Amino acid sequence: MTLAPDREANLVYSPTAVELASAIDSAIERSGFSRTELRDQALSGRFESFRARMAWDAVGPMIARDSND
Amino acid sequence: MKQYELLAKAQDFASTTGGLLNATICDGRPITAVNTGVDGLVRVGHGLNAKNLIAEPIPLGIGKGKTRAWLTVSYTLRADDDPRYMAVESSVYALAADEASEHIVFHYDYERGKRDDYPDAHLQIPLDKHRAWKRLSRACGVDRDFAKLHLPVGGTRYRPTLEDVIRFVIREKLVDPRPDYMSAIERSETEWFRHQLRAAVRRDPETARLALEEFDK
Repeated sequence: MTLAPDREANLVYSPTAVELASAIDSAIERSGFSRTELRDQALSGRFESFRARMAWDAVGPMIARDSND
Repeated sequence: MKQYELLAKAQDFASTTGGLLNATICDGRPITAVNTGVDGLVRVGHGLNAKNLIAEPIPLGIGKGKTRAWLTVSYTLRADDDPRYMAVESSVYALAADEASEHIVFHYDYERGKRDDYPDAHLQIPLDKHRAWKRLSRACGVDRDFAKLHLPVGGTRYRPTLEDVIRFVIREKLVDPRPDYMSAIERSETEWFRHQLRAAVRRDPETARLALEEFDK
């Protein structure tokens, strides 16, 4: 279920599994790199761009153990 | 900690963080939380929703003046090892000179238990040229740009805070703050330090007991 934000900015969203998968894909796409490339950059601690750094910050822990690329 | 309890704490955290930012250096910029449902992780930042997990840069400034600086504030939260508490899994504070974050001035990063041997809490400054580093790295045979260095900043417990970054952009006149910004910073900072102190005591209660015994003598 997705909760709409209220006007007082007490905002919590709970995406469905489908929404979450789509959001993860979107974040990876915005980075300009593939999952594997992002994971490799994270493992080496050297991101190619700030955009890649932020994408990993957003979804890294969710895809770190995922071996299906 | 049950996930709904973590979500309630994350909501408080988002609300408090948004309150601090909007009481000091920006205007009407909500901080939202996304329950990912993966390993109990919750994302917190500006512009987050069910479709977007990447925190958006916050334009700095009050009212209708021209925006000159943007600050990205991003957190991933989870239950602590002691499940009664919430912990920050990772965070980023990044200052940019443009909305698209193509021109980053610096970013403070924190990643709990970073696996690459770099410090969990570090500062990166994307400088293209740094003459002293060029000289030193050449002398040491190190082939690495200054921008890729992870400058250590205080470790897990004493890393720079969002309040530090807010103070910095105000002190360096990168933004005109609200007139009463200082009380908001001090309130938030006091709470943060108390939170960190409680966490430090939980991690090392014996030293805390000894310190209190010395204090009571």
